[in-house]
Amino acid sequence: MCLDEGLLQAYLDGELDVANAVKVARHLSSCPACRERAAALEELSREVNSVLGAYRRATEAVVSSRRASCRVLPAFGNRPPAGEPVKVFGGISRKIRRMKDMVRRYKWVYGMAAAVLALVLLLSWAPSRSLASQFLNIFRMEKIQVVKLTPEDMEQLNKLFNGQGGEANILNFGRVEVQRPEKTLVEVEPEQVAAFSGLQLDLPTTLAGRKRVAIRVEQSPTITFTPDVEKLNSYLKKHGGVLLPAELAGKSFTLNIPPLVWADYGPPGKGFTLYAARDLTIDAPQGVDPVALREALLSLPFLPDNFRRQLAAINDWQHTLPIPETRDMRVREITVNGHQGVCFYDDAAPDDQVVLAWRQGNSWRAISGLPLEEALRVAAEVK
Amino acid sequence: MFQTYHSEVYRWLYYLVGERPAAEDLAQEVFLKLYCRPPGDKSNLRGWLMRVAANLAYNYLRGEQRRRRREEGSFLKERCNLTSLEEALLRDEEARRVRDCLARLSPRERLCLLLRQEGYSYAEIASVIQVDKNSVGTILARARRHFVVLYDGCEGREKNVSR
Repeated sequence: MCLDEGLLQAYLDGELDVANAVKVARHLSSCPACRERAAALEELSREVNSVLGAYRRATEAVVSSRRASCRVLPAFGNRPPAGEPVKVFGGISRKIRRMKDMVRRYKWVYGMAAAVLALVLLLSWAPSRSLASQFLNIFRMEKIQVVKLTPEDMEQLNKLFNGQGGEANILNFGRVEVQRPEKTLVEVEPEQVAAFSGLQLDLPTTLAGRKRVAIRVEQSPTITFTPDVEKLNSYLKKHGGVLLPAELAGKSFTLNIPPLVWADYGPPGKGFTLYAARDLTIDAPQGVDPVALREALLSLPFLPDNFRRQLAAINDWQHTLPIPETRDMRVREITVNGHQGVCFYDDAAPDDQVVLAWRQGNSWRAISGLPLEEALRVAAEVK
Repeated sequence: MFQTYHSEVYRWLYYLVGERPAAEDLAQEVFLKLYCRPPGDKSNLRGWLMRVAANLAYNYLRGEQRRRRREEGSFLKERCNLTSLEEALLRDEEARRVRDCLARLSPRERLCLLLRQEGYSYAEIASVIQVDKNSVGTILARARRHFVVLYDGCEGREKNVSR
């Protein structure tokens, strides 16, 4: 009598008591058919685990938008006295987790900033421009500027992006296509880094007394935004914005997120990670007029006023990536190795680990997993 | 306490139910339970919160399933349109595909799969999805196979577009 699938699965999961496990093991040793079924179950489990593992990590990036509504409770940031809640998680791993959250949250906000920029570029078209040109304008984001967002701003932007803003919903204004690379995260050898990331990096085997453990390259998707000119125009007509030329229909803006190199130094939990990436670029059909852009930006009806003012105050906007600072994630500008940089930190624990990002050569570097002072010391050693 | 655990509970619920508004409501409910009927033993508060959340998620999904059947699929269609740009911008196309496949599993299969993925034992899973511990293996294997069929079926059909 061959084994029931549930029993086989429980055996593979180590969920059987000894007597049953022995029975199953004995049967398997004498039954090639069941061995084959067991192997198939294991393969199935591996396949599903890898897909769901990635999904779990993706869901970790979501941030509750309703946290602000829990006003009865103390404001975010006033954590209870340190020590007690941290112990529950076990100090280090808790810290790491928070750090990872911060990095993920950063990515989310970064995506949002990019979307706003794409939107801004999209709306910068002067109606009279000729659209004959097929050439692209490439905006290279090589500078940064911190933009402060209040919880109310976040709420407003959230609505815009989450489809709760009624008519002013980003999905009403165009189509977003995400082209995902075949493999997102690959472990590479040091000499392969250039081929995978387009960066000539010097990643020493030891940095700040810690050994290099692994180098990975994360390939990011290319995001294309194709405006729905008709809908946008009818919206802008109603709300007094600058109209877009009908010829723009079908034209796209492309956001290129560069590959991200991760180099882990030191044992897990005790080390740090060094990141490197080229500039984020936005390809826009040629003919973007800076003056018109400013104007369109200032007149965007659905941008929070506070955000609008700050974006408008950015001088070299073609090359500046606005980094939003929110209540949950503090950012401050800082000079690293004589270059412009930013430090992301947690207000509740200013001495805790930070994410330090800065410009070096013609690309970006970042370090996570260390307190600020140490991160700066390590940064000084990075070539 | 709320601040320490809220986002973790929220993310856990989002993972389990795949809908943000529901995850938010359920997270509130978890903390309401904690407030009204705190566990006697506080040494593993996190475990307690996660377990309560899993139970609520299962109840929600079962109720949701009933509602969905009543509305004859109009709900699913509507939800497809709610995909947000934020999600699109995060390397999330893959996550969306997984979420859509998970949405087509039965609540029982879904939770069995997701809880096992997070290392829950058969006994713990059995208590959440209200089955005998000895059936968990069968449900799990079936859920995985079902998921893979859906997942492979999605390929190429959804093609990168978020509208």
